[in-house]
Amino acid sequence: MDPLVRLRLYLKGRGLWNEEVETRITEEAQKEIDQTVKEAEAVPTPEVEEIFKYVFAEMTPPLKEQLEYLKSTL
Amino acid sequence: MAEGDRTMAKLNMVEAINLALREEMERDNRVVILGEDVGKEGGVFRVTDGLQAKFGADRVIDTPLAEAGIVGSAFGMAVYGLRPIAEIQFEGFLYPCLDQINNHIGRIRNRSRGRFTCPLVIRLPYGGGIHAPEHHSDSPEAILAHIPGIKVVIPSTPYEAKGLLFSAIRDPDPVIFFEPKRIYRAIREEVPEGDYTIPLGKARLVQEGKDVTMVVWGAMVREALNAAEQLKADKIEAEIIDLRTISPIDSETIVTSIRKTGRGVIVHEAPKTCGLGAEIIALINEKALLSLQAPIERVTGFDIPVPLMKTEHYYLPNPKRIILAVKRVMSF
Repeated sequence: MDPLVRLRLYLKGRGLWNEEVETRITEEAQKEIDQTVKEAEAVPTPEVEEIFKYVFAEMTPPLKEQLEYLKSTL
Repeated sequence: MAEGDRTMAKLNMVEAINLALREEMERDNRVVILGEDVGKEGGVFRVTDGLQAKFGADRVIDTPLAEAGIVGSAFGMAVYGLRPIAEIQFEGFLYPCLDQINNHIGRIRNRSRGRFTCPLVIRLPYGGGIHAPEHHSDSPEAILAHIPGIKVVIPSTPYEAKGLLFSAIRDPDPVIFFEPKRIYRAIREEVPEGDYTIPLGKARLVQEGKDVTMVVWGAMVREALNAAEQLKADKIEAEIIDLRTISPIDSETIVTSIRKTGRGVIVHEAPKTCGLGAEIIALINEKALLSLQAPIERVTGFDIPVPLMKTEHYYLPNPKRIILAVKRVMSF
């Protein structure tokens, strides 16, 4: 059986879960997810350097060259 | 619609591959499919939708989440007479299979002096452009093309995908079949029901042009077509070659085109260093150096992990970058 369904049955059997709890927790979680998505989508597009900056401790010569090329095409 | 007496339907690439799998499983009962969620769920991209219901759980096998095991099992099945098609859900999960692919699948024929062979297909969605998380946007085709004893095929349209997949399944040797996931649902075109094959190792001349040769494959074919359309305004006629098979590479088609145009631009999503573009340039230098009017240009991804959603557009080759490269080779 699906482990989520099993867990629900287990908790219900122990008196730790009911419809009211499930509705409330689902709504709270949905609200939190919606808010987080909204915040993530509002983040401005990072500068182009961002995608090259963390590959090595120090950007290697080929990466520097590729970054300069990319900037020249934007 | 009909071509002769055939039924034609407008299909996307997912549907075309599904149709090819269905028809080949009907035709050849040695063909089996295995992978994560390929059966009951019909595949993460729905490519194997309905196949387990039709052919049963013995021929469409849901496996544990263990890519090396999927490909290792397919290897054994192929050596002992089946025609397995393994699905890896995303190219980023291919890497645990490289031991099986490199150390066994690619060399069993040679190791056994032709006594054992390995006619299998490994299908996997690859490439960026769908705003996926990490490990879901890579283009590792050159890594595979570097391995002896395996063929590497990359379709660019629904029609191409069906004909190439038939050839891949029927090929006597192992084939890695990269499916450009960005194209999965992006194009619909007429795909005939029933049998037709597109030979492996043969490139496709997408459009003729006299000024510059563009060598592309997978999702980059559409970018090249878009760039070529815009270049008409500058009176530049681009010839576009869709490689279709990147190993073995169809050097004849490339070289014939370069001898005509004298100029070339290679476009791939994969990182630049040791990408297939470098190999193609070497081939051109070996076979058509004196035809060149300018150094061959590469428009590629960068030597970095494919960036996430907000910055992915920086990474992927686009018509603008292709046009800049074409203008450089035209004005050299």
